[in-house]
Amino acid sequence: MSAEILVTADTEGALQAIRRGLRANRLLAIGLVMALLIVLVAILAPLLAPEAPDAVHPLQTLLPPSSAHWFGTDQLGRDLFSRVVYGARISPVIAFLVLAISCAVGIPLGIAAGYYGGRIGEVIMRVTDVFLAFPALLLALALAAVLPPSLGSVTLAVSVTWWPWYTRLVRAQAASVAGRPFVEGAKASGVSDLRILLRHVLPNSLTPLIVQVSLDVSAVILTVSALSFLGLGAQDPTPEWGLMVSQGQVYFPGQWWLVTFPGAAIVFTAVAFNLLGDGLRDVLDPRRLVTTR
Amino acid sequence: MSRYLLRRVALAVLVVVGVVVLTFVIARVIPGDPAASWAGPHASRQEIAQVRTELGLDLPLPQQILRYFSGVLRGNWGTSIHTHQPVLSDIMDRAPASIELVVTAIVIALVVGLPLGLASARWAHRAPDGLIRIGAVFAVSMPAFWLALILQLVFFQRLHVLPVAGQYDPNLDYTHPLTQYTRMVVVDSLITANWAVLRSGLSHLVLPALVVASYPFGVITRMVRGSELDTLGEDHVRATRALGFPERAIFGRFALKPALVPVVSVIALVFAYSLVNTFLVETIFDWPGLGSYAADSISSLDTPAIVGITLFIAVIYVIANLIVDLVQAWVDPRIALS
Repeated sequence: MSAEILVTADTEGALQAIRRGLRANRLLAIGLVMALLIVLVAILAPLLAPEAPDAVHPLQTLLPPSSAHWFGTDQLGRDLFSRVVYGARISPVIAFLVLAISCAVGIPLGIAAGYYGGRIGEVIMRVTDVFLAFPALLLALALAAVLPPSLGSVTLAVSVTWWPWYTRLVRAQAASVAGRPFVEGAKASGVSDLRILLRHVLPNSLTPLIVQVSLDVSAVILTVSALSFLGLGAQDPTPEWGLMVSQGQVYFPGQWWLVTFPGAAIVFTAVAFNLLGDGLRDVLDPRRLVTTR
Repeated sequence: MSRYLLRRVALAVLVVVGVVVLTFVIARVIPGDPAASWAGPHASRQEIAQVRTELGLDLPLPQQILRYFSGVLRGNWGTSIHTHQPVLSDIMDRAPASIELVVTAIVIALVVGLPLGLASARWAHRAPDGLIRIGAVFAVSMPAFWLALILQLVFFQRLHVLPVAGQYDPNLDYTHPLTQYTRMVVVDSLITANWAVLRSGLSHLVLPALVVASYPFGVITRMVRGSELDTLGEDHVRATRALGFPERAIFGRFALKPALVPVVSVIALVFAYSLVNTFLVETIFDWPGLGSYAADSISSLDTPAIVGITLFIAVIYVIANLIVDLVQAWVDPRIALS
């Protein structure tokens, strides 16, 4: 209960900071609008798309963009605009899943390592080091390559790659909080460890975590689309943007629209969340606030 | 310093051991039947059984790990399924082309990104800063495979200016044969004074290098901007301002040097990242490096090759990080003490 109150108090302060920041930081505002647009497109996909994403029309294959088919049609005569619109329901959702799983694994481990320290903490951090020794895309790729190709495998592979970043971030925060007088005081007055962790350690790690997660949305979307491009992720007829670029490559550059539009959707999404993450960092990190003014 | 060096090296060795164990898990534990995947999709049951004993898959797990480990140490990284060559020698054949590509890309990223990052910090929160920041955000938001295709469309298909496939014009093999020393076309043609191949090699290098440079450029630009702004706010820099040094000296001399320390560490990171990015770029440009080898291995389910490349790049990454940490400790002795 009280943990919730504390968290809301913290987010309320953050909300105010964001409101102030939106006025000062135009890039953050642009990123927020773009991200909201993607969410809207994903929710309203059935209304926006003129056709079902997998509706095949054998007589209308590879048509260039026109007023009937804004983004043209693909090799099976599917309306590309509809497919790109429905694609907004895939990559961002996978990114959300990956980040949720990574936080669920990474945060408890980071808190354990930072708060308790000792031998357990040492072991956790050495394991984390091993995972961090791989560039994210490389490890995700190796894992996805030995798993059967599907969006589920990609989600798993990228999550396995991503959690150590949060463990490291939270450990540093938790370790710095663990030694402070108010935590020592709580300990001395017999407050349970779990309560200390939930009330003091976790809320203190929240702000850097929010910033990191929002910055990571783009990176995860790019990683997932890269795996799909290599054939390790989504399979036809899923309207996944990376897969669509990969399929359109065969008809490139003659039928340029097959590659151009799904790829532009990836760029749009990645730019949106990068601007959002950057802006949030500027606004929420007080140290940076002072120095960048 | 020497204690720090020792500890840091020991840590790196520990990480490499962990990396080998993790690749073991990927190669031998996750696939349903590693012997079947190792033997390839067309192997008979007898061949699979033979592979199983060869790989020692009938042994207890700890013994398997030891065998795998000593194999890796002795350079026995398995045989590639699609090239039928030892994986390590495949990697050594292909690595130079990729390293040439990635190093060129990072040089481009530095040459463009450093001044732009500084300009962005110099005119922070004004028009040039906004433009540069948006440019940098786009650069890190580009899927490399898409950028590669779009650049091909623009520069080759529409403008007809740059070649898009291979390392140099293959017709030159008849008129100006290239002697290979390093397997890097630009380096080899330069040291053998083969100007025709050099010219062709450079023009073939431009587009793929630009694509690979995109991400490092964005990262370096943002890093330089942030780091310069941070140091400008520090006491020692503010002191120089109070002492009346001209703005240019404050910006270029007192703030620049400390601001570059974190930039150095990011170079190691983007080097490894870019090596992996070549997986997405090299096939599109028909570049005969690690990346196209990796992409071929993935499409032919060549587990030994995939695991070998993974191990190779991870070890490069660990070494690069080690070097960066040691250089930083040498530049800033406080790091070694903490």
